[in-house]
Amino acid sequence: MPDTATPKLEEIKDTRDVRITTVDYARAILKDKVTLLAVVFLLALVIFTIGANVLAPFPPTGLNLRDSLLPPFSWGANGEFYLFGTDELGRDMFSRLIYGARVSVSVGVLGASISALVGVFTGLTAGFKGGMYEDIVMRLVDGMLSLPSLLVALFVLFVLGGGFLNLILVFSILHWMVFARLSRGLALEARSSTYVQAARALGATDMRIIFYHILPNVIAPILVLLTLEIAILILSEASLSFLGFGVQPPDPSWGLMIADGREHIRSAWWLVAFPGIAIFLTALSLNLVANWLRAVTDPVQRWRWFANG
Amino acid sequence: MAYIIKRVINSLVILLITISFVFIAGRLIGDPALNMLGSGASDVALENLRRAAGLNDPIFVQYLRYIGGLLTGDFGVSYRYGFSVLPSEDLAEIGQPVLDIVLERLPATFALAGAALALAVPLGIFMGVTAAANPRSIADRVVTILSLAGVSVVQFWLGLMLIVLFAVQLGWFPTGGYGGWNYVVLPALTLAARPIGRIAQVTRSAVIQELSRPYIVTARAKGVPEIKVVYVHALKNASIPIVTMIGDELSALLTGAILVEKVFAWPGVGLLIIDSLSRSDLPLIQASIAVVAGLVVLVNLLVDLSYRVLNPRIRLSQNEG
Repeated sequence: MPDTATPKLEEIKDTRDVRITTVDYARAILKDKVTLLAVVFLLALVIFTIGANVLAPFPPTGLNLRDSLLPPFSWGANGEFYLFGTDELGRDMFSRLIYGARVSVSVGVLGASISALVGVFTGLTAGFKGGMYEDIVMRLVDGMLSLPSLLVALFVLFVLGGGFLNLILVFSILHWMVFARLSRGLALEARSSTYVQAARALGATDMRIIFYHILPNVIAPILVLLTLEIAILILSEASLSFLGFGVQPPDPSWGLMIADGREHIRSAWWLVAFPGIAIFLTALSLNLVANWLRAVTDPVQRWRWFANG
Repeated sequence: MAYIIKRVINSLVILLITISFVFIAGRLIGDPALNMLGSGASDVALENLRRAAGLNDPIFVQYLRYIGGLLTGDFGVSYRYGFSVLPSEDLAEIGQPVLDIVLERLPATFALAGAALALAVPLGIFMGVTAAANPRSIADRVVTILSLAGVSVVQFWLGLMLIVLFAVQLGWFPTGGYGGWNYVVLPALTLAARPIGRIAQVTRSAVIQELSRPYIVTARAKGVPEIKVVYVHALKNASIPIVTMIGDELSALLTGAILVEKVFAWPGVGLLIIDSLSRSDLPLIQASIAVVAGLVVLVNLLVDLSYRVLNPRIRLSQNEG
């Protein structure tokens, strides 16, 4: 939280009356150079993830033993240029990083999104309806949150076997609780608000009130949490794959690339360094974007960002 | 008091569910005897092992026997430890009790987690307070960047990079293993990176909030030295969120140790879990998960209760309710 200088009254009024549009958000991002860099990095990552087939200079599994373990910025035997060097089988590190992004990013995004769907649904309904249902849901949430999630994930993957889909399944089972806890609090708060009373007076059904009236009003903190969870899941995927229980070879994932490069760590540092840097930059960017989102959607803080257009 | 009893019962139920889940799921992946001996084993060898391990009984009977054993501290014997050849009917005599194996490994994990905590708490608080006392200064920026980096870095990767730099290139520390104080430096640093970042973040925002309160103005007006204002007056009142965060990180340290132990070949419970999983040693898997999950649940329970003791506002509202 930055310093807590209080805004002038007129300034607050300004942002309340004027609807904040997408253009305003875009402008606010342009003003904040660090967040801008993070957004540009994430956008590039998404483009590379979608267009891996076109954008990667080499196929990710293309063996070329003559060019094995070349350092970054070197030329292969047939004049290929290897930006980030090659691994022990002569595969281009840059291309493998791009294909690895596809696996790591989609596990993170899909796992976090499914967790969010499940958690927000159970949390909002629990907070809104209350009673026994809320009691049971929240006891389950508290209980599951008190378990060591990495350890449980390890064991479940040991039972089910690793792989892309199982990772997403495990992450969805072990991460919906944080969304449920947050959403329940938000729904509790909204339940007694005037707009909910008004909707109820007009005869809206519970489900309509929850998803049509409450959800749009509480979406901001949920989005912040979603961004943070994507970062956490990308880190978890790397850890589980490193231990051999996540994505299975020959699928390239960033964590798996670090595990593979470990044997050559004394002679070929780039095999371990680049995938780790890729994970680091992705998680860092997501954290920065989450911080920014939290600031601009906070009614107390956001006048700072939109004050004079 | 009623609250404490409710929380303790809750924790026990969670633990029982976890242990049961691990037991049942472990049976679902196929015949444990076949998993252990491999598909090349003869029918006689398989049958001998099944009989020795009681695997021929109905699963319900096996489950009750297992839970009954737990209550008396008997977690069963390992299928792998102490065998020079593959296990068979002599399982009960030769197999080592798994609980002993796990308990033998615990001190190493505690040492690692303790060293990381001893590093993270003072450093994280110092960084957070320094940043809060000088908002928007260069120190504040550096702390903000470092703490974000701490939570964004992959622990095991950081460990590998530290090995390359300080063990391989500079030769200051060993690359891994267990021994004197110099063996613990790199793993503890690796494990501490994340808690340092999170403690610094929380300390910074909590102290900034306290520094804007009227009692701080009073203290400054009285001429209290700035260092005392920040470290004694503000930090003391900012301590509740900081203590909560440290408690949260405690259980994260225990599971984070799994990866760090793997990277540095540190012979703790984490490494034991990875090894037993890769060797399909079911009794050892069950015992090590039960012990670690039990520890984490216990730590979470203690943190939750101590938070209530520390914070009078929560304590009072609990008594009323």
